[in-house]
Amino acid sequence: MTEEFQTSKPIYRQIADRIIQQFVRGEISPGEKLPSVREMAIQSGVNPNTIQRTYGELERMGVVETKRGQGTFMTEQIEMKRQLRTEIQREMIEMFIQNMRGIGVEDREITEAVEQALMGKGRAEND
Amino acid sequence: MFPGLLRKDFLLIKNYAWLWLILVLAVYGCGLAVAAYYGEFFLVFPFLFFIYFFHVALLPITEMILLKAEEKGQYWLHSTAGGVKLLLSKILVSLFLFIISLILADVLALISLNIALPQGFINTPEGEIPYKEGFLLNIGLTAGALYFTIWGLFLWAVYHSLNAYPFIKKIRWGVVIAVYLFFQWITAKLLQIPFIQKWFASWTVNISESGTRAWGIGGMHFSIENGDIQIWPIILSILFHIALFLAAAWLLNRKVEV
Amino acid sequence: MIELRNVTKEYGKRKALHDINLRFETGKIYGILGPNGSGKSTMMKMAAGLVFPSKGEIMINGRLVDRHIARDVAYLSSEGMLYPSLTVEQMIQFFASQYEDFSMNKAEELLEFMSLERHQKTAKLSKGQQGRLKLLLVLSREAPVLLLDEPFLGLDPMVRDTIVKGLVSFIDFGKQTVIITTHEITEIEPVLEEAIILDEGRVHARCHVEALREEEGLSVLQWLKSNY
Repeated sequence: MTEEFQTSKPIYRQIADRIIQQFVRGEISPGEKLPSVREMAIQSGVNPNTIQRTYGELERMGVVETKRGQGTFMTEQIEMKRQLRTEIQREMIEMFIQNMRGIGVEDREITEAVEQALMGKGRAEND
Repeated sequence: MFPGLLRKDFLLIKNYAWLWLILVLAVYGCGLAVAAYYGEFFLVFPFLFFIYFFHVALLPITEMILLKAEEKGQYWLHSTAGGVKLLLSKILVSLFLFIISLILADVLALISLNIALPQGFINTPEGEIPYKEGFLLNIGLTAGALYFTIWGLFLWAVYHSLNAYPFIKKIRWGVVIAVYLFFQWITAKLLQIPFIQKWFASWTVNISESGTRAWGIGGMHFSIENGDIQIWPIILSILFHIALFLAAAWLLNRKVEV
Repeated sequence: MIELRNVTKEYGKRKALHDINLRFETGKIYGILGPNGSGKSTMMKMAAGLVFPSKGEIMINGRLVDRHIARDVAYLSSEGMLYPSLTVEQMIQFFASQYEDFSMNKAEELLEFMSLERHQKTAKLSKGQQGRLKLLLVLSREAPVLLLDEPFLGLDPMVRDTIVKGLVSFIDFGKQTVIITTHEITEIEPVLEEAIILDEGRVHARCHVEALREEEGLSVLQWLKSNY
C-alpha cells in the first residue's frame, strides 16, 4: 500500500525522515544503494520530483552520496549514523516531555515514571 | 487508421449480423413450413418478398445501431480521423452486412424459383428465371436503403448538433422532422417547374418495353415511361445525397459536442 | 503547454465556464478539484477538442484546439470510451490503429501491471477493471498531453492505489503534461505538483502542493475544505 503522509510537513521531508530512521534502525546499512528516483517514487506513490528533492536534501545533509551514473548510496560514515541517532533521540524525548507536560505530569514524576517503567518491564515503548 | 475503424465497426455489428442472417433463414424456413402444410409451394414467395422488402430497413437500422454505440460519451470524436472517415466506415460496414444479406436472399429466391418454375406454380414469360427483374429489384432495394441511410445519418447529426442549445433541446425531434419535411417540400416544388421537367425529359435511356411504371420514396420520384428512364434525376439525387453525407460529416466535426 | 485564454462556455443562459485564464506548463502534473457542476469536465472536454468554447480560445503546444488535437492529447473520459462487445485485446488493437503514438510495448507492460485478462469482453469487466483498462489505453500513448477526467470514479481504495502506482510508473515525468480531475484527492495528492479549485465555472483558488504543506502546514484536502 502507498503510505499515508502527515499534513503538516512537506512530503519530500517525510520521506527523508523515513530513510534516516531506517538507516538508524539498521534497516539500511552504510554504503547501501538506495532505490532509483523512479523506483522510490513508485514504491511511495509520489511524484518523482518529490523524491529528487528528498535525495537532494539528504545529500546536502551528508546522509547520502550520489555517484554519477551509479545512483544514490547511503553514507559509509559511522559517525553520521551516531549523530543522526542522537538527533532523533532528542526529538523523541522533547516530544515525550511536551506530551507529559500537556496532560499535567510534573517533571519529577516523569523521571520517576520512566525509571519505574525501565526497571519494571525492562523495556520502554517509543512512538 | 481507416482499416482500424472498419474493424472496430465490424466487431460492433458482428453479433447482430449473425442474428439477422439466422432470422432470414428462419423466416424462409417458416415459409417452407407453411408451404409444406398447405402443400402449395408458391406460399413460400410471400415470405421471400417480406425478406426482400425488409432490406430497405436493414441498412438504416444497422447504421443506427453503429451510431448508437458511439453516443455514450461520443469518445469516437476524440480522433484524428475526421467526420468523413468516421461516418464512411459506418456506412461501409452496414453496406457489407446489407450486401451479404441480399446475396443470401437472392440465393433463396433462385432456389425457390428453380423448384417452382418447372412445377408451374409461377408463371414468367417463357418460363425463364427473371434475372433482369431480379437485378433491378436488387438495385432498387439498395437505392432505397441508401436513401434512408444517408438521411438517417444527416438527421442524426442534426439532432446531436442541437444538443448545445438548451432552448431547442426539448423539441429536437420536431426540428429534425421539420428539416426533413422542408427538403421534401423544396424538392416537390422544384419538380413542378416546367423548365426542370423539360430538362429531365431531355435525356432518357430505354431499358425495357412499353408500359409505365413509377416508384419513389417521399419527394424523390423515378419513373419509366414506355421503358424510358430519366438520367438527370438519378445523377442529381446521387450528387444530392453525397452532399448530404458531407454535410453530416461537417456537422459531426464542427457542431456535435459531447 | 496548455493555455486557456478568456474561455467561456455557455449552454443557453447557463455558464459552464466563466472567463477562465489558465496556463499548464509542460512536464507538470496538475489536479483540478471542485464539486459536480463546477465545470471540471467541460474544461477537460474542451482541451480534448470535444467541446468548443463560446468565447476565448485554447492553445495546446501553440496549436489552436480542434478535433485534430487528439493527435497530441490522450484523453481518459469518465463515461463511454470502451465498447462493451469488444475484448480487452481488441480495444488495445483499436487504440493502436487510431493513434500513431500508441506503444504496444507499454500496453503489454500495463496489461500485466493492471492484471487484466486480454480475452475478456469489456462488458464483463468489473468497474475497477474497466477503470484500469481505460488508464491502460491512455497511458500506452506517448502523447505530450494526458487528460484524465475522474480516473477514480466509483473505484475502491485498493484500485485507486494501483492506479496511482500506474501513473507514477508510466507517466513520462518532465515531458508529459498531465491534468487530472478528481473528487478523491487523498491518493493522488502526493503525485500532484499543483492543484486548482474550480467552482461554478470560475477558478476559485490555486496552490503548489508541497509549498502548501511547507508554508501553511495544510494538505490539499484541508486546503480544499478551508476554501469553502
